[in-house]
Amino acid sequence: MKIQVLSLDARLGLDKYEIDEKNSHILIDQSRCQQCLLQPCLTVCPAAVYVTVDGDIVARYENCLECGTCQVACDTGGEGGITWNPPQGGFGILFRYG
Amino acid sequence: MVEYSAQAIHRGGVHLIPKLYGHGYVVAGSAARLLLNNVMTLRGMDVAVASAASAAQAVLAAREAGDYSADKLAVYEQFFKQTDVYKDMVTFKETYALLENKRLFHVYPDLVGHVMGDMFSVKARPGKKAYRALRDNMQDEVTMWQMMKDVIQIGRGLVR
Repeated sequence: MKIQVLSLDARLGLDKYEIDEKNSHILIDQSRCQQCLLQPCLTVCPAAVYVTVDGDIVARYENCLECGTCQVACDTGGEGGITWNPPQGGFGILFRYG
Repeated sequence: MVEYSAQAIHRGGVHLIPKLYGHGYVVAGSAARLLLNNVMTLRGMDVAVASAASAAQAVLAAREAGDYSADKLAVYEQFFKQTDVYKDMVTFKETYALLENKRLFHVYPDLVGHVMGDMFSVKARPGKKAYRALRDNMQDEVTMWQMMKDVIQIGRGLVR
């Protein structure tokens, strides 16, 4: 049996979300991110929520799996530019299988 | 895969632990395939903490000597092997084989269900006692000899 490796986008496509289109639950302080050398958010996120666009850190918060790794990584290995709050009630990832 | 939740767990076990150190580096936690699954509990965090603490001790000792060579970092493995979690990994080394035994997850649960079904349901067919029901349901699935070997394996893994 050959095990097929799904791309990240394909894996995220299996998930069900209720996206809060008015508010992002992730806030980014660009001035802090500009000073950040390590930028751990770009590598630690299992959903690759954080990407750079024209030198700025951008959060694709609609893909967030709500694990909280970015907050820990940013506070301890970064400059504290990320503020992660739980999404408003009813919004965010809806895990159907645990 | 039915849902991605970034909760994947790698295979682990004392027989899968690689070399934990080398020239200028140490490996700890999941990166070193450290995971203890003894069927009852699934432990990764305490193993990771213990290995990281051992690694830190080794690195501090290496820094004191100003030498980060593999020889110097070898104490990491010694430190880690003295931890309780490593001793647990050795204690449960035969338990891991149970997780690889597919019959425990695919054949026996159904077998128990079918035997119970045969015994507890009233049908318009001649009934069977437990042994006959068991043998009939075992057909093509597992032999008595294989089942006895599996019972011994479970005993080795979980009892003593």
